[in-house]
Amino acid sequence: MALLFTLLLTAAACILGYFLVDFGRQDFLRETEAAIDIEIRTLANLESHTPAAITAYITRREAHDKTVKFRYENERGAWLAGTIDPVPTALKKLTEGVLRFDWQADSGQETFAAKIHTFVDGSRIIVARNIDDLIASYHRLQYFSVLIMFLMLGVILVSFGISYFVVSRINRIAATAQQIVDTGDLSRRIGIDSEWDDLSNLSRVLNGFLERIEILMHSAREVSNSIAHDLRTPLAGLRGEIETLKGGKASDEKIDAILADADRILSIFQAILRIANLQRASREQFRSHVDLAHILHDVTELYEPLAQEKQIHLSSDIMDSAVVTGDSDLLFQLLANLFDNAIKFSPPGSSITLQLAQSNDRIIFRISDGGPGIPDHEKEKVFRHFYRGDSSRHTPGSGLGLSLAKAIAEYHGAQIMLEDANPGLCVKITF
Amino acid sequence: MKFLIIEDDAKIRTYVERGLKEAGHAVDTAADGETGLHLAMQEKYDALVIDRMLPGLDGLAIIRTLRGSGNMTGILILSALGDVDDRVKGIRTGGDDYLVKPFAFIELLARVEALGKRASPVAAQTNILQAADLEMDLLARKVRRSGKVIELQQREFRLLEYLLKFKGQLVTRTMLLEGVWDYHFDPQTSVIDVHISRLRKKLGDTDNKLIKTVRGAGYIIEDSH
Repeated sequence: MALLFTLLLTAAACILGYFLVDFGRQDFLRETEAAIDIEIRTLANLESHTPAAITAYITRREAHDKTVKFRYENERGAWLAGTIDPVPTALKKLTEGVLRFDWQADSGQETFAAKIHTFVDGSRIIVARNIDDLIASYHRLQYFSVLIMFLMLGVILVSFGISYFVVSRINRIAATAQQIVDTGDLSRRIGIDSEWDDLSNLSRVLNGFLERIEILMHSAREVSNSIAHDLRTPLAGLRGEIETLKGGKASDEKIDAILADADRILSIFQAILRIANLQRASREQFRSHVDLAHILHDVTELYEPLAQEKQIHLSSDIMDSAVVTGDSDLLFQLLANLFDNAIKFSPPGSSITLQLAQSNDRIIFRISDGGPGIPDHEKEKVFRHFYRGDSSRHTPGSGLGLSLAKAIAEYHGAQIMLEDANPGLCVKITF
Repeated sequence: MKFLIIEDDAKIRTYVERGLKEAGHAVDTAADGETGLHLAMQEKYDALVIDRMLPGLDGLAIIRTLRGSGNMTGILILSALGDVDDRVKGIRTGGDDYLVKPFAFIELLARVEALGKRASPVAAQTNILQAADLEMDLLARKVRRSGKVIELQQREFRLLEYLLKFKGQLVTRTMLLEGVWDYHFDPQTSVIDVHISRLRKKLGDTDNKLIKTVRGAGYIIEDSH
């Protein structure tokens, strides 16, 4: 492709160059020759074809027009009239029938084109016209032609470079894409070796695109791995329990226990589905204005007996009204999950602090517990599906509570962050 | 009570039908939307169980048609969809309750019985609820047990009211959360249990005889004592 493009451009440049040179050479004398021919025709057609009449015409013309010069001579070549005398020695043939000579004028050397006409009586006339301007413009034309040729050459080289560059870039992008298709290896990236051009920009965008896909694929794989791993244990347990029923008669209690296990597994699936649905749900549908303060009061009321039972003190600082757009059931779920965690991890006798406050134009919710807290290196990980920190390994729970909390927060365009409460954990949600 | 099940999945249909019959109810079934709608328009039911996705006529379309023709029978929507907005959509269309598959049969039973009970004219206009020696005056907001006044907080009052309204029927934990707290969510721990045990303590129900626990399901206040 690059080669074909360059060849076409070269051909176009050659044609243009040839046309320019040829046009200049052919035409530049034509007008001068025509003007000389007119003079000759006028002289030949003079009414009284006498040397005196011719001399008079010549004198008048020469006085009138500085660019024309004449020489009138008799059949033996002796001078009769006109300024050309003697006949210049260096007469050169310019084109067919036209001669060229240099003339030493007062202002310097001038160049003339001339034609010789022989009358019937054998006398001759030389008609010459100054062609300095013509020669100058001919030179200019030649100069520009060469310049254009060089420019064209430049264009050809640059275009060859560009097309070679573009094509090789595109080929490289295609090759990388093909490699990804062939190997399924999403970690490959398109090489970028310059900064300024559009194709490098395209490559950068495509690399970003690949990275996003890789992250998504990675998290999808991680989720499916953890599902496979974390659900295998309870399922294996369930299988074992069913196996023990073989042969004997199952008591209602035993069946209830097995059903409870099955329900727990189902509820884990339910939670995973819910998180997935939240992550792809559109935010606009069925969202109304809800009062976070009101929801928080309800959650507090629901969980207070649970805290009291564990002798955990609840203290709260909740603003009167905090209206956000959202789904009250989901927000309740979010806060309930955080309460649940806080109560679960707080030792008896400690306290949980709630705060709902306005900061600038954001609403900030904080819940701090008196538990062991989460070390910095685990703060990101606890939001992953089924992730259990060291301190929570032996507490009951599905390992999905914070994943769901995060999904709900993000569905509402809120950020959820973990901070240190010294001791304990502070979960901060910025709406 | 008499129920109609409109469900295309034969396995779920027979499972629900058998369960409801074992619980002493009369059951009609329909495997597709048109038959179901036809039955629902002709017969008088205490509650309808309608699957959301049906061949022929969609579940939500049936509900819309029934409500449009003035039929206000209680409707429980069954759905395999667990999307954020599906529940809201189902309730807005005119459904009274919503249950996501897979579900425990006892949850479905408790919910359809509650729907059927709500429709019965006896339960509607009483201001005094009673069970054994417990008496609840909804207007005066007073609770007495053996004549002795018991002070309850507002939420405890509503909890007891809900249990008494469905006296003789199982009330599941999620039903209590939805009916008393007005939120639909999945509690990770059984927070409700703590509230029930508080209520029992206040009512002097030390041996759990008044409010009985149904293992793995919920609570019940028995009809006759």
